Formats: sequence, structure tokens, C-alpha cells
Amino acid sequence: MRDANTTTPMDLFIQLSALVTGFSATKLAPGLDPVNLKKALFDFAQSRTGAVFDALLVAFQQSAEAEAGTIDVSSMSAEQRQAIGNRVLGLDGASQDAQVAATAQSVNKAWYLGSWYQPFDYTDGAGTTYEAGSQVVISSQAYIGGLAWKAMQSHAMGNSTFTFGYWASEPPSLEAFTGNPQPTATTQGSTTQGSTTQNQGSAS
Amino acid sequence: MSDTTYDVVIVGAGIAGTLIARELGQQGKRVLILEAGIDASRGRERYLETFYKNTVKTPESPYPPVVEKPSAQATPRATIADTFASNIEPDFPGNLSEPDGYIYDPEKSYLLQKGPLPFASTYERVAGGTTWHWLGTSLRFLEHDFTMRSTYCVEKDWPMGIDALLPYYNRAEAEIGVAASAQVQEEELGSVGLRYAPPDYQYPMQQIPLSQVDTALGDKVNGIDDFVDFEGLGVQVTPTPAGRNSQSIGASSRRTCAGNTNCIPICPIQAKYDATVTLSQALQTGHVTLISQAVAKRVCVDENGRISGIEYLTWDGPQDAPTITGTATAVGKVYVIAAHAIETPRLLLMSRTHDQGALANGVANSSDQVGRNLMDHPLYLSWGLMPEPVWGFRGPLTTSGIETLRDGAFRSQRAAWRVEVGNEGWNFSIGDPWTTTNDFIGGPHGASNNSQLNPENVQLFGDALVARLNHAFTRQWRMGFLVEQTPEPGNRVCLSSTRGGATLRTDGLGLPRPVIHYDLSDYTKLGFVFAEIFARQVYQKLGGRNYTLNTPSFTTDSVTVQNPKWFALEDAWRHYFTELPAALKDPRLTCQPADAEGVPEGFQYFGSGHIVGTYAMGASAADSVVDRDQRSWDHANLFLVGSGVFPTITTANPTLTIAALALQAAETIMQDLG
Amino acid sequence: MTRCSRMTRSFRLNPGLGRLAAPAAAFLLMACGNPAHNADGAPKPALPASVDEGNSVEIACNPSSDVGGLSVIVQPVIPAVPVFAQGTGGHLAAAQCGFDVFSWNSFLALSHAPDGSFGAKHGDNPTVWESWPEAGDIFLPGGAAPANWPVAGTPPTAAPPAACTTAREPSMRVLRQIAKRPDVLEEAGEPFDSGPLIDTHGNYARFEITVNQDMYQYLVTNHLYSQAGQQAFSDAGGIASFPCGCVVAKSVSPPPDQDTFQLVHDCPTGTELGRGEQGQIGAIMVKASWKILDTAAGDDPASFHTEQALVITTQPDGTETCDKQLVGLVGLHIAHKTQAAPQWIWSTFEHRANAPERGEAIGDCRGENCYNFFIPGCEDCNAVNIAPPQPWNPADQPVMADAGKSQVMRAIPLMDATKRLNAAVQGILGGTVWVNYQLVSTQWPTDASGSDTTAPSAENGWCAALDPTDKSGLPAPTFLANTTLETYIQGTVPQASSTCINCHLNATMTAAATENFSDFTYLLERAQ
Repeated sequence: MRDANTTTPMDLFIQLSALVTGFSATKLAPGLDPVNLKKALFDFAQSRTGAVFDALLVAFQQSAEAEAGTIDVSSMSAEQRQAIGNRVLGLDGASQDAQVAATAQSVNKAWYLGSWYQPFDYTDGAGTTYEAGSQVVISSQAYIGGLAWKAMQSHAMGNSTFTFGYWASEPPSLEAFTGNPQPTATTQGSTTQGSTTQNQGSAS
Repeated sequence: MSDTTYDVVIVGAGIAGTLIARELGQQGKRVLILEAGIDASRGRERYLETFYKNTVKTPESPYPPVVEKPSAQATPRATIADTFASNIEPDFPGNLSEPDGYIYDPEKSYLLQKGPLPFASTYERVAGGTTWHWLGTSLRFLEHDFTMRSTYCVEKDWPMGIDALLPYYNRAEAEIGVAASAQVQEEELGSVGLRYAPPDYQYPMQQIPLSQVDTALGDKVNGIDDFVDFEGLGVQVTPTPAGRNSQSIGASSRRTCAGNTNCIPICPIQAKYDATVTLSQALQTGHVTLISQAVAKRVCVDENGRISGIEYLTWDGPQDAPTITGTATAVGKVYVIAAHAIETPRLLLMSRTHDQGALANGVANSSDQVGRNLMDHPLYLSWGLMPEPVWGFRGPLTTSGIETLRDGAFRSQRAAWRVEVGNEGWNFSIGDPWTTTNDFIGGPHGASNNSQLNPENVQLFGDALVARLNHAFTRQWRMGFLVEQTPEPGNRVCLSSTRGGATLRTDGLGLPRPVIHYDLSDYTKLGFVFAEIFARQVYQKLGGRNYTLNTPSFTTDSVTVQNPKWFALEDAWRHYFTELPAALKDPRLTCQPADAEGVPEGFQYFGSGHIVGTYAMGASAADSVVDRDQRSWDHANLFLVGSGVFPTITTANPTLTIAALALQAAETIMQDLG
Repeated sequence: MTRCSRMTRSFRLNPGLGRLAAPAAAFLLMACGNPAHNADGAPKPALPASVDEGNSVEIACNPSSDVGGLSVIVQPVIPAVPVFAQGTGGHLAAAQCGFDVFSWNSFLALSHAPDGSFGAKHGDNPTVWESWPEAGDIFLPGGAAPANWPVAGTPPTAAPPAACTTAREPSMRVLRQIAKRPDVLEEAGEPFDSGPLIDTHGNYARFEITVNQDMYQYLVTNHLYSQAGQQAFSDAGGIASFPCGCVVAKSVSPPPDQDTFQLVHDCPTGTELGRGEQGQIGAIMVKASWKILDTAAGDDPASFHTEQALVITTQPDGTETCDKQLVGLVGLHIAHKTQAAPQWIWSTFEHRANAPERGEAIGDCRGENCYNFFIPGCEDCNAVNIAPPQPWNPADQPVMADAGKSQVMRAIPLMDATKRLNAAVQGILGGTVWVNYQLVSTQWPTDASGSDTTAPSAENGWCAALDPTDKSGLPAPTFLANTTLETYIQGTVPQASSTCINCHLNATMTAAATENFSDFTYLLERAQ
């Protein structure tokens, strides 16, 4: 539980994750959390990016405080979330460290796919080097808890959470899976978010 | 072990081997099964954990060896990973004419592929065999499948007609536990030659419910019989009979399907049948012994031409660095080789004598057909987006197919096919959800529109990302056309040797690896043409869009290499496309790449996982390896079983027929043993 | 010393406990007020002298406060729902503690004798759950209808099979199950799922399932005891949904924190649950594992709850033999469907000498009498947690070779908090055989309903809904296994390793239907 006066790195990680994934913080980090995926992903991301991970959390915090006066994503407007995300991901024309932006993408992919895509070359304290672009499954729980499966209103391939015959019917709504109300999508992808030509020093 | 005499020695603990073992064991016969791979058949934790942690979820992903190093490993086998673009030899195809020239790097690919096209299907070498990763589809062959030569003047006739197999199909469906409604199947497919006997035959379990994908498709195509180039042939989406529990009833104590959408590579709850079920039953008789990690290396023949033993190696230790722990000879009265259609001919050829005698060409090979007529169902994958959500990625990987186009007069001209309707979105087609998710999270970074859904390389996050992914994934669907390949003697399994100046390549036990020669005939390739023409019309009727990419080449790090699993469209066939109505040339309906007239440059194919034909049955010893009882013409106490005995591959998945024929062989062997 | 005064001495009432205090006080009033008479004034028959009855121990489930603990009490009223320490909403360990206390209270209540006594038979007693109908009493050959269970009457039991010439006495078990999920055609010697459990003396463990009245009545009323009945039920649109335990909300002040487990939904009145509560107990199913007690080989019956049993074994030729044997309880699952846990609450208990934990130091004991299912120092035993090699032939027992026995270790250690809880409870059970049992853990859904806020009502058995996006309700702990009941599937691999809720989510009826989910019980597939 969060003390109103002390923001922990995990709090920042959860809110940053809610912002980039589009899933509610209560889905990513429920109050009763036996699987504790948030901790698994936090620890894994930090172990593969070190100080850049800390810088990412700071960048999120600063941007959120500046833009919305809070880090609580559920209380932000869509415009505020967009502005903060654009800043963190380096999509708004202001300067953002390329490694921080790339790590934010990797965090997003980790939640969605349960795999870690190494955002930049990194050597950890034990001397192990991780190559940019390399890919590894974080854990079996991270795989089956991946958000991509929820975004498609289903379950991980290899881990059904439903009963016989369910596939004959329509699934529950997308909102039920994400915990957030959903805007309708266009087939071209949003044109209001970021710019496709922003390439702030490619990290990979 | 060489002093224990068994009634029957069986090589291979797959579906055919275990069914025969169980049948004989229940009759009190002493059976020995030699299984090359490990026996992890009592639970699936190990395989499942390997699967969850594997970054690529290929059919082989749960099973050992996980990373192929075929020259070092005890039981390497063909895998999809063997055929990744990164393994294509840089000077392919020019290198094929060199003695050591293969399509794929021989350090990575177990099969030494001489081409001109690669054989694309794979198998497993573990107790339970390839049924660990089969789909579950349990279709019967059609009447004309057995009489292609007499009916259509192509391919070959089987040495028996469909009637001989009907009682065995019933038994196989009971053994595997197939879920279907015979009434529905007969209503929809009686006209193309599907048969049941007796007339009131019932499958063991209710049919698997159709998915939303199936009903969306059926709504638009069922009952239509005026598809261009398919005039007079009705189209119907039919539920697919499957070896997958749909009720907790009867002898099976396994769970009912929960729609894990993971049949390939592994059903997490064993709702899908696999041969470990039969293996357990066989062991439970008390008369069957399984020796795992025992690789058969030689079939021994006595001076009377009877099989006198099977020499095998036992191995232990890590796959990548195995230790040979012993050699022995298994002795029985009757011998059965059930090692699937690449390892069985490999064993028979390895057993050749180095003289000019009868066995100079291998055991059971007086016809010179062992290893020949290698067939697959080359798969034409066609994928697209539905206009409205159909919510794929749910249910079993497939629940229906279009079976009504499997037979007809056209079979004298071009290959027939069945259409497998996929429930897994674009998972097979492009590796989703990984590919599309990477496209939209990464935008211009790293990934570059591999899904074709992000041509502007938009980078998304938050609500917009959720919405865009939801929009894509819920509309994704695909068809797989299982195209009938013709038996060709030049498509064959040989052994690696130093002949012609090549380097001998062996596995980690020192045994020579298989060399594959393989191509697709015009008859088969023309089947792809008609598959594409059909697919376009399906997309048209659905109001959907075709996203099929028949990739002619791959470019990695500015190096471009030809896609081996691709063939160009014959010039002589361009007219099939140019003569289509204009609406069917719309690029939204055509595969790509195609020219302005919608003429495809060529076609890409995948393997269906069906390995067939390499020791075919026939009516005469001159041109077949076994007779209709699957007994070797050359050695009276040798039976060869499995899909290798099929003289033709037909249009149906082979496993049900493998099981039916195995049960027939078991009867014959019982009669032999008396 | 009377029962009443012992209870008063050891029970501390705490006004801050809210609803716990009220029923406890009511029980005291009931029991202490007039112990010699029934509610209608008729004299009660004299009960045998119970042991440990009324003993209790306080358990501090709230880690941040001394106030708001819970109690485990030796008394016969089965709790309908769990209760939780104040101020523990949203705290995983405290919630787990509340469920574990519920498990112990359930186990102790169910382990009372039907007459309300405890430990009266030389520290042992026949149990309430043993008096309930067993699977073989419900799913009869030919799908015949089992008898109704009259309210407050004797539960119906079927006659033992013809092979048994010994008469079946009350509480005598009829044990035919060799493995957890036998074939319907077990008589034919069909194989088992993951393998039989064979103890250190080479005897096969036996299993059985019993169900309480609420569950039994639902099965009988809806004709789910036969294949034809299940098909008719399905065809009429029926979906299996057993009734949920619930307690009519009392007018007590709610605790200050949001406590998500205390639904304020209604519950049917009119059924006396005991302790002055009204509501319904809900469906309860119990699965027991039994060990053959071989005193000649060194088994000590005094350290088990024991019963006489008619043990039925299928011979290789298909015939059955029936032997009366003394059996000892080694494992017990209790599954209880409650209003807030439509995925059921799964409690599992084991005999404390079943198997060592992986990684635990074994100590000096060697041989067959240290543990029930593990031989320390064994030279040629089977690999740990792997089924003995086939063929399994229960007609051929005891199995002599060590390699033919199960060599079992516990793969997931008990939580420290559970070990402390067990020690505390065992401290109040010293006079009975029940001191030999320990809670392994309790599995419960952390988010039972997700976005589905459908209210419990008579239509749905007074149950909350299953989260439509994940019907497992995200159980805690994620994996749970009993070494005697899920011996060979202990671990942490999703789908393959034992977890009560996820596995039981796959349970279906025999009926041909698109919706044939059987509400988390595999019993329905036994219908003939």
C-alpha cells in the first residue's frame, strides 16, 4: 500500500507502466498480488539497464509532476498522459536520452510479451554483457501474464483461463481486460501520438 | 539385453509403435520397444517449462534438443529452426551442385538438404513421438484417395480400397478419442467420398464447438457453389474431427479441452491425445518393456533373409555431448520399425551390407524404393484481416476446415487440397503477437513493419496502443491449404557419405545423417495457383483484406538471400490470373508480391508436419517396399509401419490413418505369432 | 471439569473482533446455558468424554497491530465463511492468515464426531466427513438414483460391492480408488493418471471423496448423478453451480478499512448454522488419502486417525477382492464454495510424517519408519517424486523392492507463517490423534469476480460471479500440492504443476454440451 507521502521506485514503475501500456495500475499491480509480476519485471529491467532504469523512473516522475502535478495516471487526462508519454519516449521534439527512451519501450514490451528486448548494449556488475536487440523470456509467469493476450481479449497461448466451449462465444469486453475505458481505434493507428519521424538518436 | 528373447521388437515409441505394442501386450506377447530419445512421458512439467521459456514457439520448442547442433547430439532431428533464414547458406542456390553444398548450414540443420527445394516438415525423437506436437486433426481419407491412378490417371493406387480401412478407422477413433459428429460429417462430406460403416456409426465424443472465426467464415461461404474456377463444387465450413477430449466420458480420464490454443507445440493439460497415453497402456499390460535412449543402428538379416536382430546403442548424458553407454542386439520373432518416415528409411539404409549382395542397397530394399517418394503437404498459408472482430487466438488451434474441395474431376489436372481454418490469428503466419506488438511499440526503432500493419512506422503507447493492437489481433485469421504432393522417386532420403567427394556428416553417435532431395511437381504447384484463386474470393466475400506475403527473398544486414521455400509462378500459368474478373485482381484481395494484373511472382510454402511415403505399400514387390499388410516383401518377419507406408499423401492429415493401419498390422502380427 | 468452564478459561473475547465475537459468544451461551438438553428441551444422550474440546489459540493475522487477531477453536460448528483480522484489507499475508485460520477451524470442526464429541475414542473419533456420502454412494451403476438425504437425517450410503462379505459398519470406509482420478472402468485395470502412491512398506495408498449435504442435495435435485441426468440438465440450459456458504450480515459496525472479503450481500435466512448464525453452509467436498497400517512392519496406529476399511482391489483377471484393513489418514483436501470465493476455498492437510521438504536436513532416522512415503538413506529407491515404474498392479502388494515404492519429498516448503500456525494449533491438540496433522496451505482467489459485479442471489446459489476474463480468480498461493494427493505434479510450472483452482477449472460434466463446465468438481465425470 502506498503511503501518500513517500513515493517509492516501485510506485513510479507501476505508474510508468500503466501509462505506456494503457492498462490500469490496479491490473498491473493489484492490491493482492500472488504472482507479483511487477517485481519480477522491475528487477529484470533494472538488472539489464542499471542506472538508465533509475533515470527512466526519474524522467517519468519529473514529467508527470510537471504535466499533471501527480504521478497517479488514473487521475490524469488523456492529454496529460500523452504529453508525459511523448516526453519519456522522446517523441515530442524535446531532448530525451536515447537509452532512457529505448528502455521505456523495452519496459512496455516486457509487460506486453513477457520477453525482455535489450534496449542498448549493457554490461552488468558481474561482467555479463547483454547485446542490444537480444531477446529472452523473463519467466513463464511473465509470458502467461503478458498484456498482448489481454489486449486481444484472450489468454496466453498455452495458458487458458477459460472453460470448455468458451471459444464459441464472444469474449468479455476489452475494458474488462484492461481496467480502462477504451477509445475506438482507427485502422491507421493514432496520428495524434508522437511523430513517426522523431528519431532522437536511435538506441539500437 | 541380448539374451532376452522377445516375441516382437519395435523400433520407435510413437503412435504406431505404441499401438502395436499395446495390442500385442494385451494378448500376452512379450514386446520390446526401443526408443531413440528420452522418456519424459509421465508428466509434462519439463517440456512445458522449456516451451514457456523458449523465445520462439515453434513445434519443436518444448522438446530436446532445444538448440540444434546435429553433429554433436544424440538424437537430433528436423526442426523449423533448422530452416530459419539465418541458416540459409549464403551462396544458395548455386552451391547445391557442389558435393558439400546444401540449402541450410549443415552445422545447424540436421537434414542435409540438397534441394532444389527444402523439405519443410519436422518431427520429434522422444517417447510418445511426434504426437506430442501434432495438431489433433483426425480426418479419414476419402474414397478416391485410394484410387488416384484408376480414377484420375495420376499418382498411384493403394493396394486396398477404403472399405478395408473402415473398421480400423472406427477403432483408431476410439483409441485416440476423436470428437466429431458422424452425422454432420456425412451430411457435408458424403458427396466427396467420406465413408462410415456401419451406417449408424458414432464418434466417441461430441464435436468440438466451432469458433467465432469459423462462424464468420461459414456465414459468407457456406453453400456457395459458384466460386470462379470452382464451378459446381460446393463450399462448406465443416467441424474438424479431432483427437481432443470434448467430454469427460468413456475410458479417457484426461481432461476436456480448455482452449489453450497451444495444441502445437504441446497441450498443457493433455486434452489432446498423444501416444504417451497408449505407451502407458502398453506398459501397464506387464508384457511390454521400453528401453529409452536406445538408438537402433542396424537391422540384422540372417542367411534366410529373415531379420535376426536389431543392433542398438544406448546413450546417456547431455544431448550435446552424449556418452555411448553400451551396444546390444534386440532379438525377437517379429520386428517392427516405427521410427517415422525419415528415421525408418535411414535405419534401413544404414543396414546395407558393403558387398554386392541382396542387401547392398539396404534392408527391405529390393525395390530400390526405400527412402523414395518422400512427400509432405506443402502448406499454402493465406492470411488476412476480417472486417469485424472474430477474436482469434481462442480455442483449439483449429476447429474447422473446408473439406468439400478435396475431390473432383480436377484431380486429374492439379493437386487437390483441404483448407484448414486457423484460430490463432497471425501467430503461425508472422509470429504474432510478438511481431505486431514490436511494430507498434517500436515504431521506427528496430522493427520495421514486419506485420505490414504499420506502414508509416507509427510509434504508439497507452490507450492508442491498446486500441490499435486490439483492432489488429481481433480481426486476424488465416487459412492453410494442405496441398497434395505427388509421389516422385527423385524426392528421397539418402545417407550422408563420401560419395562424389562429399564430407561424411554424422550425428553425435557417429551415425550418418539423412540427405534429402526434394522438389514439388507441376501438379502440386498448380494446386497453389488454385488455392490463391480460391483465397481471393473468400476475402472478397468476407469483405476482408488479404495480407499474404509470398516472400521471395530475405535481407538481413544488407545481405539478400533467396527464400528456399519459394517457387516462381510458371509463365504458362500466368493466364489463370490474367483471366480472372477484374475484381479479383484488386491488390487488397491478392497475395503479394503480385504485378499490376494481380499475377503473383511466386508462392511460399511451409511444411504441414506430414512426412510420408518413404517405404510405400503396393501391389507388387517390384515397385513397393511393403505389401498391404505392411509386411516387407523381402523379409517375412519385418513390418514397417507409420506414414512411410502411404503410397500417396492424399489431402488429409495422416495420423488417423497411421493409427488405423497400425491396428491392422497388429492383427497380422498376432496371426504370425499364433 | 465441565466443558463449559474449560472453554471460558481458554477463550479470550475481544470486542474489537466484530463478527467473530458475536457468534463465539452465542456459542458459549448455547453450550453453557443448557448443556444437558437439546434446544427443544428433551434430554440429550450423554456424550462420551471429549478431549481438547473447546481449546483455542489466538492467531495474530494483522502484522501491524496487536488488536484484531483470529482464533482457532476446537468446536464442532463448521464455519460457513472465513473471517479476517481487522484492518487487513489488501494485505496478502494477512489474508492468507485468515484463510489458513478458516482452514484449521474447518478441519477441526469436520474432524469432530457426528455426535459432537472429539477424541473420545482413546484420543481418536470417527469424523463428520466420514459420515457423508462417498462418491461410490452417489454415482451408482446404471446411473441409478441415490436416496435423498433427509434434513438432519442419516446420510445415505450404498451397500459395499458383492466381493465384500464383511458387513459395512458405520464410519467404515469403502476404499477402491488407487489413484486420484481413476477410470470409470477401473475394474478393467486401465492405467492411472500420474501414478499410484506406494508407501515405504510397499502398500498402495487409497483415496476417497465425500460431499456434504448442500452439495449432495444439489447433485440429487438436479439429477447430476447419472449421465442421462446430466445430459437432460444441460439440454435444459443448466450450468452446474453449487450453493455458496454465506452468513446473513449482522448489524455490527464494519471495520474501518475496506475489507474486500466481507460481502454485504444477502444470504438466505431460515437455516441455523450454529453459533447463532443464519445462512447456508454451502457446498463442501472432502478428499482423503489413506495409508494401510501395517503394524508388523512398524506402523503405529496411535499416531494416525484410523478407521477400519473395506479395501477393494481389482485383480489382473478383472475380478475384485475385498479385504478389511486398518487404514490411517495421511492427507485431507477440504474444498468449500463460499459467497466471495466462487472458485472455492481449497484447504489441504497432511500427516506430519509424510515426507521431508526438499532441501531440509533429514536427520539421523533411516529406513522405512521415519516417514510414510520417504526412505532416508535408501540405496535403490525410485527417483524422488517420480511414479514407480509400470506396470502398477495393486493385486501384487506389498511391493517388496524399494525401486517399486514412491520416494516423495515436498517440493514447495510450507510458508513460515503456516509452520508457526501449525505449531500453535498442535499445542491445543495434545490429547488427541489430531495433533499429528498439519495444514499445508489454503488456496483462494485474490480477485474472484473481476469486473463482473453480478450480485449473489437465489438464482446463482448465493455466489459471486467468476471473473469472466480469468475464471481462476488469480489464486494465492499460485501453486499448491499435497504430497499424498498430487505427489508427482508438485512444482511451479504453469498448467503442469499442481494448483487446485487452475486444475479444477478444467473439470467438466459427461454431458455433450458447449457449456459443460462442472463448477470445479471432477466428481460429475463419474456418472454412469
